[in-house]
Amino acid sequence: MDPSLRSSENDAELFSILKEILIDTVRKIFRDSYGLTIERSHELSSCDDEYLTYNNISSSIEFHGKLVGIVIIIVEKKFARHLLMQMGLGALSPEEESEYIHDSMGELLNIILGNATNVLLEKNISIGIEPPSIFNFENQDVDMIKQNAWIYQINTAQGKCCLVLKNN
Amino acid sequence: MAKVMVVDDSKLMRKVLIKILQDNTNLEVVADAADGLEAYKKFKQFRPDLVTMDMTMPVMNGVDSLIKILSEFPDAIIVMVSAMNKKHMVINAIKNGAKSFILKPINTQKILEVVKEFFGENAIIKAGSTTEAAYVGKKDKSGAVNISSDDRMIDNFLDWIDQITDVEYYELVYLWKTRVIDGTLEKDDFAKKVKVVFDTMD
Repeated sequence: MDPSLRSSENDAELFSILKEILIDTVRKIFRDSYGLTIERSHELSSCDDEYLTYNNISSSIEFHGKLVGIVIIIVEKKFARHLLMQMGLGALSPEEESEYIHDSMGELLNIILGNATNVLLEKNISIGIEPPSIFNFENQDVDMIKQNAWIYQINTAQGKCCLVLKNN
Repeated sequence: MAKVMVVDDSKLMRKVLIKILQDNTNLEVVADAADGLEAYKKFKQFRPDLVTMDMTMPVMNGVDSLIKILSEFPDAIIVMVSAMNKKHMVINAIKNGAKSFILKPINTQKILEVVKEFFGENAIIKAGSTTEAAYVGKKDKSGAVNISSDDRMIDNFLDWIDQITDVEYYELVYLWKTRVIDGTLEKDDFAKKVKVVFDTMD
């Protein structure tokens, strides 16, 4: 068998494992740490460009090791506000909110991916993660981001959230 | 009072950690830092008794910072904080001198367990007395004193003292236990000082 083909099959299998772990982790963290009730969650074959770019809070983390890629989280503002309050600061002024809201999504993604890597390691799959950065879709080619990306949407009473996983 | 430094590249996490420490312990947060190198520089400047150190940070990561600080200050108490609990990372951090490890997401209970571990129960402000203790701790010593005695207020205050008898260095507790009890400060004058504090509360 062509070694490159075997490698890409292997990558696909590893990504499939990562997807499952991400789904379990995000649900567990939303429920146990932030008291969120998940009303519906499902994979999307595509994501509305407007949703990706309009008035939402996004953050991304790159990972490397046995798997290489990026995970992006896109969160509706009202959902982000709720999570920010749940993170321990209580009600904030508009100035404080705008100061911390992007940071809170970076931290949330860091917690999700960090905890997911712990589970991956139990399956002998080791990946490292970079510090989170703000992901600005307006400066990116949305089609390029969506190409070969896996998109998972979670609906809660507090708003909508999307995880985008992309293999580099 | 023991001193703490909080290190995390997330401004939000620094604020959350500082709030938990200020609201629930009598430790003094003397510095914060956004990366490992800044942490090393501030450690030299402030010499905190406890450092909470994030592991994944830009410029210099938490473990490299831990090693750098401990090479010069081998007695430093540094607790690692991370969303990743990979066995080798934890072992590596502990092997390099980290005293404990907190898994994110953090919460008040996890932080207080660590504070208790190194500074004992006395470092924790008991539930229900947090606001009062914080205000008394920040009390303006000059306090405008033209207010009459208020027995109900003193009773409330004494009930509160019963809950926090370990926190002896708060000024009013100290005054009650020494100068009021031995008669060198009149109860009325003590009451005026208490009222100044209570009036500043929400």
